[in-house]
Amino acid sequence: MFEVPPSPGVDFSGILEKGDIIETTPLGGSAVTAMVTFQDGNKAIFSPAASSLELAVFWVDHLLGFGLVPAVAARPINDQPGLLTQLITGAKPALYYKTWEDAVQPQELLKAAVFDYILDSRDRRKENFLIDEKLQKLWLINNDHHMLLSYLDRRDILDTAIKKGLTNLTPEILTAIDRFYAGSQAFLNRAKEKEMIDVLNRARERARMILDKKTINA
Amino acid sequence: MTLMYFVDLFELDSEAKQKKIATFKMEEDGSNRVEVEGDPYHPAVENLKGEGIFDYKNATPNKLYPDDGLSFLENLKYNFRSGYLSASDVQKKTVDN
Repeated sequence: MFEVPPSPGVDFSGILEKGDIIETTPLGGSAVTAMVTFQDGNKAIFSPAASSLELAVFWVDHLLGFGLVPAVAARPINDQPGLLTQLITGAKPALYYKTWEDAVQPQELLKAAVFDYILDSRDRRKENFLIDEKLQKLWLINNDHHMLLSYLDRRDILDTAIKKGLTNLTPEILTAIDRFYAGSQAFLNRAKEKEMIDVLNRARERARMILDKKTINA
Repeated sequence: MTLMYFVDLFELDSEAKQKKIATFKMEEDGSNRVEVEGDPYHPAVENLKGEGIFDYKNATPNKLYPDDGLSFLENLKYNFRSGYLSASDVQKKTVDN
């Protein structure tokens, strides 16, 4: 059911894929159905209806080296296929903040804006990213069909970065985008699902565009 | 007896335990307006009333508000789909008038 990209080799992915589960607690809600607790105390959210795009987006983040997307892995729970997503403890949706942008580092905001620019994220509302106030860090969630392939036009992070003048790319970010551009072709060659291929092709085009322009201010 | 449609909205607390923060409900023969039972000042509830939600079900960028009745209820589960905040499917029950 899920097209699994090559493993990015992130430790938490290994836990999600093979870690010993000691508890599965049902959750109320339509899209997510259980909270899974691992032997080491880490937790993950189980979504039976999640799309393979979430896996692809996690891989894109890994290739960029931004660390913005919680780990995701395909793993059945109670014989039901689905995706496990790392629970980020200590972080909460941005809508809990009056001015979320004051709670994150500018460099983090710029990285997230670049990420959303490359993927052409379309549903980045305050429900769809988390703030870790202690680490002044962002986490991008719900990177699914609605985010990547809908007709929506909500780009809260990108719009905020532009409004704050955070548009020019640092050498480190340009290196990261270059690494993504070079490395993504191999992944694209192995992808089979049309949605995944479309999203990755578009991401490569947009990465090329900002490598040339060196800014996210279109 | 009247048919009532409702959606429960949940959040995770600091210990990753889920708790219900509100129920959005609408009576079939009523005003077609969705009422909120729960904390009206919770950020998620305030945000819904102020900003509305997209019409995911019909794949359009139109906004829906509590006054839009059943369409609003049907789209809550797409608006809150992460687990940090999540909404149930539309449920039904009969209530005495």
